[in-house]
Amino acid sequence: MFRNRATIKVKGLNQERAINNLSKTLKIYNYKREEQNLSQFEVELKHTKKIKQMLEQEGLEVLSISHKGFYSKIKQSFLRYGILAGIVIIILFYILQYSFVWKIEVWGVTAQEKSEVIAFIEDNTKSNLKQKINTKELEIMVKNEFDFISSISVAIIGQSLIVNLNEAVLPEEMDENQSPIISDYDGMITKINLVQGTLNVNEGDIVQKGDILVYPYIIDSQGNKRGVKPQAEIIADVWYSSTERHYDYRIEEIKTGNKLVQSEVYLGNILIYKNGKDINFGDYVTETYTKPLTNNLILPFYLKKTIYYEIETKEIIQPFDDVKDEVISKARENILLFLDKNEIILNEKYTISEAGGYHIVNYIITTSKDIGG
Amino acid sequence: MKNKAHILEKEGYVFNFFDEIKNKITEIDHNFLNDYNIVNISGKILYVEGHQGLTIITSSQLAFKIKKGRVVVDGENFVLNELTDNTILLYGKINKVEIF
Repeated sequence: MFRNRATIKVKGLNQERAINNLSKTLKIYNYKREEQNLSQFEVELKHTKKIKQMLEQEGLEVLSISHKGFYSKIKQSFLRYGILAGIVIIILFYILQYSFVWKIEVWGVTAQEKSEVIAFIEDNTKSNLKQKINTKELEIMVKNEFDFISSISVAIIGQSLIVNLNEAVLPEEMDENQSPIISDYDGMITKINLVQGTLNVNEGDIVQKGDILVYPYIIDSQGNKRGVKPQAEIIADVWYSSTERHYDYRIEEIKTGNKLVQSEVYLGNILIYKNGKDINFGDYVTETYTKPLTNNLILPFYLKKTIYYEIETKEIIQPFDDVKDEVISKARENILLFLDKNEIILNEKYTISEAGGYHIVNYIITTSKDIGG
Repeated sequence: MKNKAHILEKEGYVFNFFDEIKNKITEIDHNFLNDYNIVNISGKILYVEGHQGLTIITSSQLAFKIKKGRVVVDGENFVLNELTDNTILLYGKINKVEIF
């Protein structure tokens, strides 16, 4: 590959004499006598012109001269105008496109903010030509447009416009998007210690669940509203209540423990198979569930099971006085479920009222707790 | 004229292959040993020093002049790998080398 030689084909008589004469001045390689008056051989590429003259002087006809080797390939490539033109075009194209910015990269922000910044830069750059992009001006424009940016640097690296941002981190207290403190309980406010925000309640006020206690803003000395994170300790007497109703006479349906199961197999809506005894219960309640037997829609078999529970109706006569303590205790337990762990009970009481055939026990527990935030 | 082709490097010093051979045989006057040298390597390669011009070259025969004579090489598929004013390097199937 790296032997740069010319292969010469010659025709003529008395080639031995010519070869002898040539070999006196240069080296001859790979001489082959193909026919009596036809042969080919190689010489070093640099001797090509010289040997052509010498062969003609010797009276030999040069049929062809071909080149091989790395140097000759390079030389040939550069002599082919198409390749040469292609190389020139590629170089020109590269130089031309290198003058433009093709990509905008934004670092240091989230994807949403990134797309906003890119859209803004695209709208505000008149040209993609590097020379027409003023990075200093762009820095100021982007910084002024977006509040969340604390510092910015814009640079053109290669064919990318790199925008490096640092987001401004506001203290939580100065965040404008805060929620008010809302009461989760019913009760009466006994003490308020406001840290920041604007109060909506006063001591002694009765509040209900859902009422706003502290608004998430303050009014500054200029009369402007400024958002803040509301913080306050608000102690309130919180009331929990529960109601339990007791009927002296009532009718209850009780399961006897007898049950029957019926199984049916359907194909679509068509009953295919049924299994189970006939129902001989007087009163009963049922539970039904279905289960597909196949996983395809071609043959949609499914099983339907129905369970019949026998029930009997019982008359219950139970005077309130006999179960009074139990009913009150049940009403109390219903409240205790909602109390926080270790919550101190200030007071508890109940009232009993009687209506037509039934008694109502209303139980109230009062606790003291911080309902602020 | 001496050719560099037969100067080999061995174990750090340079020696002349043909001179080494000649030095082993002291009975002959060395003045007569500088006309030509022919080396036949396995009947495949023929190396010649001191030729005085080709007279015949075909794919089966090579003939060249030497001082006070002529050499004819017969064989098959001859390719004259290298030819200079003084040396010949031939490869192919070498059947016979005759000196006249």
